[in-house]
Amino acid sequence: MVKRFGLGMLLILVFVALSVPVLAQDAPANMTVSDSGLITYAAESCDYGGEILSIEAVDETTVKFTLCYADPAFPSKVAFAAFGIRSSDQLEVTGGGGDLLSTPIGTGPYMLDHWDLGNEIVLARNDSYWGDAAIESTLIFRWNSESAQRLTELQAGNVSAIDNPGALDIPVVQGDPNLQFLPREGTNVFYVGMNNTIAPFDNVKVRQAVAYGVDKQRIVDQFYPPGSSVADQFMPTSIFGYTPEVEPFPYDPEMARQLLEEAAAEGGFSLPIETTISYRDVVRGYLPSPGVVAADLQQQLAAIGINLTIEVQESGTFLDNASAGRLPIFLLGWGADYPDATNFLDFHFGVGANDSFGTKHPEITEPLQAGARLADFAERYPYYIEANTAIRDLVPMLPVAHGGSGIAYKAGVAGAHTSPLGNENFSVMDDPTSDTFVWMQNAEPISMYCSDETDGESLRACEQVIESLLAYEVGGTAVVPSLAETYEASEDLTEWTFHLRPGVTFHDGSALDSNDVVMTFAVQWDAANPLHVGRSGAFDYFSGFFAAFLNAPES
Amino acid sequence: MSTTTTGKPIKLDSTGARQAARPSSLWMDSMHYLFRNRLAVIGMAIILLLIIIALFAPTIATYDPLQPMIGVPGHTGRLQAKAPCIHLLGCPAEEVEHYLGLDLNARDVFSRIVYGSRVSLLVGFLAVTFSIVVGTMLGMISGYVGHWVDNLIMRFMDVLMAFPSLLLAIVIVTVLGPGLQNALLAISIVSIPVYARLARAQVLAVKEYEYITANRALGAGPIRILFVHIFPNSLTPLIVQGTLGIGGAVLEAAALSFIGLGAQPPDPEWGAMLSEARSYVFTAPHMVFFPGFAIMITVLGFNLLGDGMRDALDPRLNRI
Repeated sequence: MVKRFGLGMLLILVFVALSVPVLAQDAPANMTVSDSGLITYAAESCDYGGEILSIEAVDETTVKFTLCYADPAFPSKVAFAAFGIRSSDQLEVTGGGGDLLSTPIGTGPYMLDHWDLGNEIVLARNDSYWGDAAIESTLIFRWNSESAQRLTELQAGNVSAIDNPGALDIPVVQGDPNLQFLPREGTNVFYVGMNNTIAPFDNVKVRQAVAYGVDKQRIVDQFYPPGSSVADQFMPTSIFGYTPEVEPFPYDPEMARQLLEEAAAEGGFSLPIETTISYRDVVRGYLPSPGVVAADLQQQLAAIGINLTIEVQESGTFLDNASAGRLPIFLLGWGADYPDATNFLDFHFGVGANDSFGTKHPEITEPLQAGARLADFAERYPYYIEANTAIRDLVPMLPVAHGGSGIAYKAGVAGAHTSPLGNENFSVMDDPTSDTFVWMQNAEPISMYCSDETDGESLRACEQVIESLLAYEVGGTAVVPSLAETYEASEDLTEWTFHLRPGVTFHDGSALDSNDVVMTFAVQWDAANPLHVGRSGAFDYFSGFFAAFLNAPES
Repeated sequence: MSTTTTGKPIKLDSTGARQAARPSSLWMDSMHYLFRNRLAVIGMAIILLLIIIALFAPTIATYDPLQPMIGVPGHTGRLQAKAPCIHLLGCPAEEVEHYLGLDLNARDVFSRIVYGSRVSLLVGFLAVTFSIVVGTMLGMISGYVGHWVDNLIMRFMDVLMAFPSLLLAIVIVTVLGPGLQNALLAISIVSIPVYARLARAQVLAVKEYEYITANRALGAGPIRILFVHIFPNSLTPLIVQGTLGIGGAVLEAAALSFIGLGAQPPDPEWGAMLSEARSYVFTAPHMVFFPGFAIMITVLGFNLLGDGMRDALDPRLNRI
C-alpha cells in the first residue's frame, strides 16, 4: 500500500516543502492583488513625502496614477527612458537585478541580439513591433572616448554616424562631401558647482566673486563648438522656467577681487585662496572639452585671487563625490530629460536634491515647491523668477554655457536627425550602403536597466529597446503616445489614467498588460519591495522626479 | 711610429711604448674616442643645445607659456589650436607670429615647448642622480658585505625589478598622489635596481683584485677600501648606464604626464601637451607633432651619447 503511492507522496511532500517559504513570504505591504489578478500599489498616505499616492491596474489595459499634488509635468516624466516598461515576469525572474541589467526585454522597435561587453551591442529588428518597423534589420552600438578615433571610423565608413565630433573636427566633417553634420540644440547647461559647506565657498561673497570673475563669453567663443551660447541662468532659454527678467552678474574682475578681499577680511583668511577644482574627463554635449575649460578657468580665477589645483577624477567616483557634497568646486552639467523647469531646478536645488551644493536655501526651495505644484504656466512663472533670482544671488553654482553639440552622419543616411534630449531614434534611419546601422557614441552603456542609470550613453541604448507609456516626438520634445494610446487627467491634475495600446507584445512574446506598468513603477517606488534592486539601487531619476521613495530607509 | 693619426692597429709592447709616445690616461683616451665617434658628438650637441634652451628659456620663449593669447593685442577670432604662423614661410604679415602655433587653450606652443625642456631635463637629471646615488650605495654595500645583507638587498631589488617599471611608477604615483615631484620620485625608485645590480657586480669583481688584498693587508678599513679603492674603479658602467638612463627617465616622465599622473596643468610638460592634444592629431597636428618631436630628440640625444660613452669606456673593445 505504502509502496504504491510512495513516489507520488514524495513529490507532494517536496512540493509542499518548497512552497512553504514562497507562500509564507508576504506580498509587499503596499501591494494588493484583486481576484482577477490586477495589482494595486498604494501608499497609506502622502505623509511619506513623495508625489505618488497610488498606482492601480484598473483593468487589463488601463492604469491609473493618483498623485499627492498636481503635477503638470507628469506626462513628460513618464515618457522618460528611466520609466521604460519592463515585463513584470522578467522583473520577478531576475529578482530586480542581475540579468535585468544586461538582457533588456521591452517592446521597442529593436531587441537585444547580444551584448559583447566592452566591444559592441547588437540589436535586431523587432518584426512584431506595434508601430512602423525599423528600417534597418540590425542596429549596432559601438563606442570610443577619443573624438579623433570616432571621426576616423566614420571617414573609413565603418560606422554610419558618430556622436559629438570634436569641436575642431566639425569643419572637417562639414567640408567632407561624404559626411553631414547635424547640430544638436543645447538644451543643457554646463556649470561650476560650489559647495556652501566647504570653506571658503561657505561665504557667499566668495561664490559671488567666482560669478563676477569668470568671463563666460570667452569660454564659449574659444572652446565651444558653433551653436553654443553663454548661460545666463541654469535654465536653457528654450525650456519653460527660463526667466529673461533675471539679469546675470556681469563679468567684472574688479568687483570679484573686491568681494574676495571683503570675504577674506570677514573670514580671516589670506588671499590668494588655494583650493582644488575637480572634473571628470568625459565629453558631454554641455562640456565638449573638459580639460581645456578647466585650464582656462584656472587661469581666469588666478587673476582674481583663487589658485586652483586641477584634479581629474574617474567618472563614477566624481559623480559620487559631487552628489555626496565632498567637492569644494567642480565642473558638471545637466542635459534636459524632459522640457520643464522641474527637470533642471527641482532636480538640483529642490528639497529632494543631492548634496552637491551643500545646504539648501529656503529662498530657492520654497518658490520651486510652489511652482512645481501649479498647472498653469502663467501662474507658475513668477515663482521661477523668484527662484532664478535667488539662485543668481546665492550662487550655489555658476552657469557658464549651453553647449551645442551634434552628430556626424554619412551623407546618404535617410531620416538622420538629432534630438535636443539626446535620444536619437535609430529605427527611422536608413544607411543606404548597408542593412546595418552602426552608431558610435562616447562610452559604453553602464547597464540597460535604465531605471537605475542616469548616464545619457546608457539611456540612449535603452530607448531603442524599451518603451515608456508616452514618448517624445522624434527629434523633438513634445510628448506623444507610445505604449499608452491615450491618457487623461483629472481637473486638478492629480489623477492620470493611461489606456494601453492593445495587442502589444514584449520581445519574449508575452503580452503587455497593466500589471507590467504597475510593477515597473512599483519596484522603483517602494524601497521595501524585494525587487527594488537595480544596479546600484539608487534609482536617482525616480527620487528626482517623484520626490521620495515609499518605505525609504531612515537615513 | 705615430700612434695617433694612422688609424692602423698598433700593438702595445710590454715596455709601454705607446704611453711613452703620448702621455695618456684612461679618461683622456676615452674622451678622445668619444669625440671621434660622430654619433656621440651629435648626441652631445643635442644635449648642449637643450641645456642652453632650458637655461635661457625666458629669453628664448616668445610668450609667457601660461598666458592664453585671448585678448592679447593682435589676436582676434577663435584662437584655439591655431596653426603655426611664421612670416618667412608665407604667413600674412598682419597676423602675429607663433612659430609652432597655439594649443587648445590658445597658449603659444613654442614657448611651452621651450619651458618644457626645463621640466624634462630637470626630471631626467634629478631622477637619475637620485637613483644612481641610492642604487650604487645599496649595490656596493651588498657586494662588499655579502652574506645575508647581500641577500636581503638584492632580493628586494629583484622584487622591484619584477614589475614593469612604468607600471610600478604608476602604482607609486597613485599612492603618493599625482604631481611632478612624486612622478620624479617614482621614476627614481623604479630605476634603483639597475644601478644596484651594476654596482654590486662591479664590486664583486674588483674586490677580488690583488691591490685590494694588498690594501687590506696594509690595514685599510672596509669603508676606505670600498669608497676610495673600489668605487672609482667601478664607475665606468654606472656612467654609461646613467647617461642612457636619463633618456629613459625623460620618456617615463612624459608617459606619466601623458596619463595625467605627472606634471599638472597648467605646467608646460611635453607628455602632458601631447595628451591634451591627442584628440586632434589629424585636425591640428602641430599640437601633437612638436611636443612629440621634442621628447624624441631629447631621448635620442641621451641615447647617442650613452652609446658613444659605452664604446669609449669599454676597454675590451680593441680600437687602437
